[in-house]
Amino acid sequence: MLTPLTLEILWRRMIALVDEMAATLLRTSFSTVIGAANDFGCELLDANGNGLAHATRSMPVFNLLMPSVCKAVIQKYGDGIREGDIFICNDPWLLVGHTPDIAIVLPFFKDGVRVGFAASIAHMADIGGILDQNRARESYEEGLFIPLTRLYSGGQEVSVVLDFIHHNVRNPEMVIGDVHAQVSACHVGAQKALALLAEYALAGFGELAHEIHTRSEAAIRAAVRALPDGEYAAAIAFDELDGPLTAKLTLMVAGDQLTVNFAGSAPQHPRGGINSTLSYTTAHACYALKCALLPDVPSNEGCYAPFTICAPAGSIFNCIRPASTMNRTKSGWYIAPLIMTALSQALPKQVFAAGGLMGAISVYGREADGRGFNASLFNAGGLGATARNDGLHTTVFPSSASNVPVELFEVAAPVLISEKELIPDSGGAGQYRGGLGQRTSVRRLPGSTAHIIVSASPHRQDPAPEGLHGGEAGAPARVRLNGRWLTRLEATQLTGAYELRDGDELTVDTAGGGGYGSPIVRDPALIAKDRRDFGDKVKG
Amino acid sequence: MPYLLSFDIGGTFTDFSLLNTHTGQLRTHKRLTTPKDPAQGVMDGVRSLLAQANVHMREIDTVYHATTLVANTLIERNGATVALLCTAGHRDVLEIRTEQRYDVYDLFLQYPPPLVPRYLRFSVNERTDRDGNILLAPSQSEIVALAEQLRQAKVDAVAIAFLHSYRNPTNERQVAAWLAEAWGVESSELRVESKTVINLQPSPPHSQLSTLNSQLSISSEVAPEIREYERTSTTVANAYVQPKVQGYLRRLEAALKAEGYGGRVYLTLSSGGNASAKTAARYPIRLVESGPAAGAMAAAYFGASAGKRDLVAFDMGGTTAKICVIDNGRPELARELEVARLHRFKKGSGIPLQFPSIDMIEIGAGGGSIAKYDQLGLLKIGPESAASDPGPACYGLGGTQPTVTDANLLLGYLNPAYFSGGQMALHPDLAQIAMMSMANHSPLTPNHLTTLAYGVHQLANENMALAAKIHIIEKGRDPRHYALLAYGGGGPLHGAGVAKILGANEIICPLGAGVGSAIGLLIAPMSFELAQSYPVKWDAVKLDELNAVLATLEAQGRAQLAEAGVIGDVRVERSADGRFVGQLHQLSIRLPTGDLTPDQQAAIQAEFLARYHEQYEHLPKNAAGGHAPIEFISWQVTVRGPQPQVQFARLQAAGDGAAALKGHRPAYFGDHGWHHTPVYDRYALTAGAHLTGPAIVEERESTALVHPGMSARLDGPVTLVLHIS
Repeated sequence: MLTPLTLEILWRRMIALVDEMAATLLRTSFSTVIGAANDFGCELLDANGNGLAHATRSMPVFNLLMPSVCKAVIQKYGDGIREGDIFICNDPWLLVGHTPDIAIVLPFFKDGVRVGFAASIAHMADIGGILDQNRARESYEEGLFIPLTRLYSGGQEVSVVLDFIHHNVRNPEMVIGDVHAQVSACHVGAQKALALLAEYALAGFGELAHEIHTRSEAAIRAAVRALPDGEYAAAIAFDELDGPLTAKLTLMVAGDQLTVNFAGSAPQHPRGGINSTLSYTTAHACYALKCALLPDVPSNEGCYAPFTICAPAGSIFNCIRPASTMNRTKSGWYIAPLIMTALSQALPKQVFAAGGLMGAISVYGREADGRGFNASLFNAGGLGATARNDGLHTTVFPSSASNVPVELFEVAAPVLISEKELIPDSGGAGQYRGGLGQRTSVRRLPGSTAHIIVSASPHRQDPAPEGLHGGEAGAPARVRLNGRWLTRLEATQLTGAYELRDGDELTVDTAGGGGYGSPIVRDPALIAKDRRDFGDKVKG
Repeated sequence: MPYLLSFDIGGTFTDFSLLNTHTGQLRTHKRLTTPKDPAQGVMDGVRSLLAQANVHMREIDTVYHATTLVANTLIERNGATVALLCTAGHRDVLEIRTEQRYDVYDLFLQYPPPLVPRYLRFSVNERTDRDGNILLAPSQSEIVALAEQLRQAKVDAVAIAFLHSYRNPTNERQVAAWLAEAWGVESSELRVESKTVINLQPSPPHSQLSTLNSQLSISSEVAPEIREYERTSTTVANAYVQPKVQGYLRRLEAALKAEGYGGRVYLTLSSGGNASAKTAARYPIRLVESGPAAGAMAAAYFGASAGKRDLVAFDMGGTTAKICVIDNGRPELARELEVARLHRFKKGSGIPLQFPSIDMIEIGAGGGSIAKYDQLGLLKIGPESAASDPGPACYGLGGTQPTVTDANLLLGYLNPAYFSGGQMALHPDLAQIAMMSMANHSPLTPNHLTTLAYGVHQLANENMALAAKIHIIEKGRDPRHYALLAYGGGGPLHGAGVAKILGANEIICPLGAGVGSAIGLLIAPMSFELAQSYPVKWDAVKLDELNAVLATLEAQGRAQLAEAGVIGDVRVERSADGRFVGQLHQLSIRLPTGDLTPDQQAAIQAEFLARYHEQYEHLPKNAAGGHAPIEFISWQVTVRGPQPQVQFARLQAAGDGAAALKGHRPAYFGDHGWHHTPVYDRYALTAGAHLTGPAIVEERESTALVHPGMSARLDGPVTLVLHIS
């Protein structure tokens, strides 16, 4: 019998050991995406593939999908899973919705019996496929598809898998180095998990998993039960490539069950990779619900038990292969704001206004000496305001990534970030103001003869992030080339893949967050402070 | 002049110690800190300590000092008005931060506001690239105009942090020199390098330090390492605390001089080394963990004097417990730290700083930590604390929530009439009411109450042991290998419980644990740490150039020590941060001393591979199946003076063993139940005295708990050692 005290201690030890996995992955990786921006997840799972603990700051949406991939391993390989096996997969329909996110799964054994999995998902700097992702019509153009398979078999590397990767991606050393970093992280996780079991003389995680899951499930069910039964709907028409698309969801609360239905959303889009797979949709919906309903319990399988997520097959939230999915954040990142809007009807003070979302500026090419480079600079928009505070400036949500320091980015690629500053007055007005977006400009490094392709992903050009409860919208994202602001369509097309030439300066503004509450009741002291810092023209 | 004097200004108390180096006689003293002018409280304390000892200020050879002034200035936000000069286009580095949320589920997350608000951040048209090439040199007329703006804005201090200045400091130095000139600040020490720097140009000895004066902090000197946010943050924090620290040190030195003191004043840096007051005034931010660092040095000393050099130092106070690993007699250092967190125990919610400091973890488990059930029905302790106001319920000052101290009182561990040496009476009835409130006011049988209180006590032990264990395991070490050095008000009471969970079998409780850090000041060597980014592919390293970089750092360090009066016996330690080419993070390895030779080049590579394998198991391979190429990014040099040799005589006159037994009281020990437990007076125990558990040993500042089945002996003159058999 596990006492509450032992449970608490084991739980915290598990979180500490997945944090160590995360540190290993971060510190041994080769790309700015993983090593600086933290675009990965690490998780410890029980023998049945149920999530026990994930790294404190790793990607919430990644964490939510590792149970799926472990369960797929069990389903596919069953008793054939052996000690020394390591599995690999990037199937967007099973995992995080696009091919660059690779999962590594390491089952571990105690006295010959499988007791758990250490797993990680990380975003590779490249996975091959078309460079201008806006042009992709089917997933076949979106790089290497790695079906669930063995990367190690009984301790031996399956070299053909690595060979396939090596010959299909743009920066093989970087990508394979990062896959090895994931393997290292899983080894560290498994080793520490086994040491923990030994220390507490446990045969496996069974009882521990049961306790964690049932207690967490009870807590989330209580939170759902506290919501008034009923339906709460929210919709948005967002404009990406070919005119407005509808994203719609209805949140249905009945007792301690909560269903999110995406019926009414647009059909899957025939190009540009803006479709979400159901796995990706589910993870985003669950993540947003947990933030609003049960923020304090460490995430695990039990926290999501009362949720059912459904979306019509063939819609942008449940696209069918071979739909293109590379830019699935362009639909998927609307899920959290929609959930917040829907929940605001029941929990007006527990949610925030829509935020500016993150962009990414990626540069790819070859230095004069033939060395390849491929680096991404993440740049966040402003967060939406809450019932308590102004929105944070330039903070990443719903991803948990961090930015890449300008100095590291410039070391990684022959470019200059000539500007990376807050945009005054870009936050939506309100009793609490939305957080500010930022302006980022990129140029070639003077004297460099490299061939440089730059791409960017300006989310939230249209519509700008909405305010909540009377708050105003933030400023939209936009793109400028050599002093001229581009139209939305020009911006989207150009930032797919643009060859950066001498004298060019490409500028991306991320969006500001929406305000919360009526601007009329804003505290004059806050207005004065904004004006002191950002100039007299700042809205009151 | 046989006397050494030290004082550690803490948040609540200032601790003093006075050592006669001839006799080893040590006197200690404690008094309330005077936050408005800490120098005043110090001088009052010094006067009364000297009067008690009948010693005159002239007889004091050296003064050692630690202070929370810097940490408090950052926490309370009452530092200088600072202006920050940034590369044009990058005015908001300080406010954009890392853009990451430190708690991914909290929608209401907040960060501390930047130390320099935007209207005091100024863009300078200048630019250096990744290789140190100057793409745009600053213009003097722009800086002169800016100087006037700064004057009008009435700033107290200026920080300068330009992009890639770790690679080439020329633009920062040039702007600093022009600013100083425009203000008519004494700039004879300022030195500007040639503008033609391409690769990193090792600066001549002294220069890294000499360009700083009272008003200017420049990032290439304060924290010359890549990553603009962390470097800017450190530089700004230095400027923010500098005027206050300098003013304070001036007042203190003047006051000491007025009383007849003619010697030097040294301050303890966060790294645990002592440095001259002049160095401290240039790099005041390095004082931020001054007091806790001195405490860790004291722990190392007491451990060593009990024959233990591998220790877990465990300092439990009113609101938190601090834990630090000491290997081979020296506390471990971390390369960066975070201070003034918005949420004390959430990493990422504070101000990042980049310099070596003693690697200490702090957890929310102190005597005042509040116990409650969380939403999953699990018992939790802290991080909320009743602190000293209102304090635990048993203080009778209005606290109603149950705390660890309340539990300890109900379990019979604390003496209600001898808390803080009897200065404060404790109220068991109030503790009991508070503890009952946890059980939803349902009536509790005495047995339940005891079980609950014991659960609280045990969970506090578990929390601390767990944090210590994780910290030790992360370093790749075995917790069972260490002895526990327990100090602070709650350390000796919880030490045995924590040690049992860690698997350690020895607990060392020094006498006067409450004033340990003041003692630590006396035994810390002079030292200074320097670091420099200098990226180099290892198979293409130019050893001459590298040796020059290292020699420059060493010369700068030696100059610091020379300023502190250490000339001859200087030890140098060097390390380098390496990685496989293309990675973004580094692994630190030790370097041999002296000029590096081609032979050592191979050995250094082998050392890196071995350390990497040990830490991460898996070596990344290149296409040919060999390991990928290696590069080293940053270089560190530590210079250290000799370890001061001090001998302590007994802290107090020897007592009579028989008189040591004060009486008995019931105390509860889990499976062993209630015990009629003997209570001893720590001051009356004689050297070699042997006790068998269960036993309680009381001294003014703390109570040591000897569990059933354990034994304790007074080891040497000052230290109580508990053994778990």
